[in-house]
Amino acid sequence: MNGTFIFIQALNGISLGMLLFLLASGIALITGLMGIVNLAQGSYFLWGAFAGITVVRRVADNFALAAIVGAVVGALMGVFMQRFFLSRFYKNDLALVLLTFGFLFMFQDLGNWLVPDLAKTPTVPPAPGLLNGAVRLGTFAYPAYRLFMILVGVLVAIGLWVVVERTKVGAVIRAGVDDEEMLRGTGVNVALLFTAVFALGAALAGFAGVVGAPFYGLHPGADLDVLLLAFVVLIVGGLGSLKGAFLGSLFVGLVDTFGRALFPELSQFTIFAPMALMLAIRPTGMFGRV
Amino acid sequence: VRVRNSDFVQARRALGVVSAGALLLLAACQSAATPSAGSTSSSAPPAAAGTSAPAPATAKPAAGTAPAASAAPAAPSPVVSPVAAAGTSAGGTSAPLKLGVLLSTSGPFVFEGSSGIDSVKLYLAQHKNQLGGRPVDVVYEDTAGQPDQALTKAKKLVEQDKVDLLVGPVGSNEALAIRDYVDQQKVPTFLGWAIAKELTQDQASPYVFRTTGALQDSSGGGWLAARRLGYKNVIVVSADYVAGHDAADTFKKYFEAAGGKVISEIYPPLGVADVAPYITSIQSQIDKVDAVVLPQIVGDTAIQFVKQYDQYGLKEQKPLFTGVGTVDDATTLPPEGDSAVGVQSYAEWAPTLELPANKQFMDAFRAMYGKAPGSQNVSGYDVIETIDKGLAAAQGNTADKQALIQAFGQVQFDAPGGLFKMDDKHQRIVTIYLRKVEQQNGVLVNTVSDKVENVSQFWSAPD
Repeated sequence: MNGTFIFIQALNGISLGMLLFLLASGIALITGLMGIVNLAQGSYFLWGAFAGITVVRRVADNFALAAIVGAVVGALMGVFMQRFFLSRFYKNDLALVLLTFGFLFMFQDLGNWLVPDLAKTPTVPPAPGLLNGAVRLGTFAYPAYRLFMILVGVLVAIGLWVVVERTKVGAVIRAGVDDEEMLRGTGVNVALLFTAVFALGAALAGFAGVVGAPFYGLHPGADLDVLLLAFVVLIVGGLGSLKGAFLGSLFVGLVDTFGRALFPELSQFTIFAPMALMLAIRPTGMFGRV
Repeated sequence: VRVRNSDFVQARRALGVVSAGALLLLAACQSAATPSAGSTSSSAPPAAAGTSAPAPATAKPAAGTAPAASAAPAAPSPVVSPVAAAGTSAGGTSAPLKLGVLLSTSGPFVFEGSSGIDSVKLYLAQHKNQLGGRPVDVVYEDTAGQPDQALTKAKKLVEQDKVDLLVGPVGSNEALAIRDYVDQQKVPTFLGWAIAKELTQDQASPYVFRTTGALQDSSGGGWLAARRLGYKNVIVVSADYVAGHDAADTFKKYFEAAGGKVISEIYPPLGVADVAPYITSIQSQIDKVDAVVLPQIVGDTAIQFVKQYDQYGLKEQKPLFTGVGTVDDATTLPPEGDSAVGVQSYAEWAPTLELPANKQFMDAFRAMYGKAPGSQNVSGYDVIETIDKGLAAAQGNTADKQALIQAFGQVQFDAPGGLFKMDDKHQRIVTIYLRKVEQQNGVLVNTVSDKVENVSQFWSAPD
């Protein structure tokens, strides 16, 4: 254990955290505004990845295009669920959780049927072009793609912060989080706002699927794995807060990485213990608003 | 009616729901986490694994006496067989043979199961749907990778479909679950994947045959690492479940007996997606070792590991030496791409083996499925070929059980991985090949550079 070891592991942890942030921020937006805990978010991640890989393999070897397609697929799935199903059950938390859980399994089986070669066997798509190599950091080599992941995470975080805190749309969203009925009273089309935010949250998950696949990999059950980590992030960071999602992601990414490096056999414990502790001490998480 | 509720601060309620969701997910993950468990090995129940370790004293005498037990049928059989042969020629050796195939087409072993079924279908297509000279009626049943379902389906096949022979399930836990039943019912059962060693040691049955190596690849691998590759100090990385620990322990036992030393062992959770923490841990001690050994790293973890080992710059420093699943020609090797070039491995088979039986198998598989086979397909092919060759030796007679199991026990033929033969506990004796990933005609394949023969389950390595 020396300085380099800690530095490299920290980079590992931050890059994992940034992937979790892409997923958790979408859930945070949706939960914050609508109070829906959407378990199908893992499916958007998986299907986004399926779509992205299919684009690269069949259409054009263009990573940016794949990322856009992945986000669009996620958004479409989200809008479909929100408009036709979830909107009928607002405020009925248990029904919503079970409904989204059911969707998670349905999407899993649909994936097995539509893209069996991707859904049934482990797949790790190559990173695009220049990013598929290593960068020299002093005496050590480090995968360029993980550095790219950190960059993407930070850019998305800044983008979301600007939208939510600095634009009129963001102001409307924040108002919706604080008092939905008052917002409705001021003449805002809340139904449309809900759908739009749901689409954005789902698009982030689909995008995360494309960007995350080269370093997280896809395997049967990956949708549940990433979702579980994202929920740990939300519980630690606090529901419905982007700041909480960001710091929670960093925290979980780092704790998970160092936990697994230092105590490989305790890796489940090192990730869930902080969550249990947080629930006991501060049930709303670091920056919870809801 | 929509419920409107102005109470927006519902911290407890929302968190309760999230926690419930997280619990549901945890439960779901338990069942979904194993799919990538993969390749040759499958998990045995911890209890079963535990019993074999603390009781070597009882296992040894059993090993000594059981050959006598299974040899016992050999004595009366010369007397019995003419009678039996006469009896069944009337009973109809030309009647269709009923073969039950108990592989999973869903659940954690779906890949192994469907690969095996592909090979069974290929073999039957090649042999005009006949085994041992008899037309075959195959009944497929899905165990879903669940021991209780394996037993239920085994009973269904035996009692309802009246099968004569069984191709056994993939998982060690499933095989252990049906072991007593097939033993009582005297239904010869052939295992091509389950590797729990007790199945051919202290729980061996005259009716159970294992046509694949039981951790013998790890035995041979450990010896090859020390004696042929000259590694002195290594790091061992293996998945944290029963088969992962068994493979690592076996490797370590033979490696250290041959003069090597394992200086560090890392056990990541089975199916872990992000391997970066382990790679960096290895990086910090890479100077102290000659190689990094992966006895049981499979599925997407394998793909990740091989790629990242390259991307973190470790490949240019120290070589990787792996078990079969890490660089499997049909599954993990293609996505690993150039990062896998030069990776050495130990296995019971390689696609490039210059054996007539292997070439025939490769060509036939390609012709039928339009892709190259992997080691799982070979396992399936070995199972069905054993049944065919054994049954032919018994003149297709399934009525005389003693003669039948004796014929199966003594069967020998040229399998894709070399001469096929079993020991007196019905465990296959294998050849372990030292392989290396190379590019041939633009395709990555495992080529063979060395081998060690006659590796049995109680192998004592040469000095």
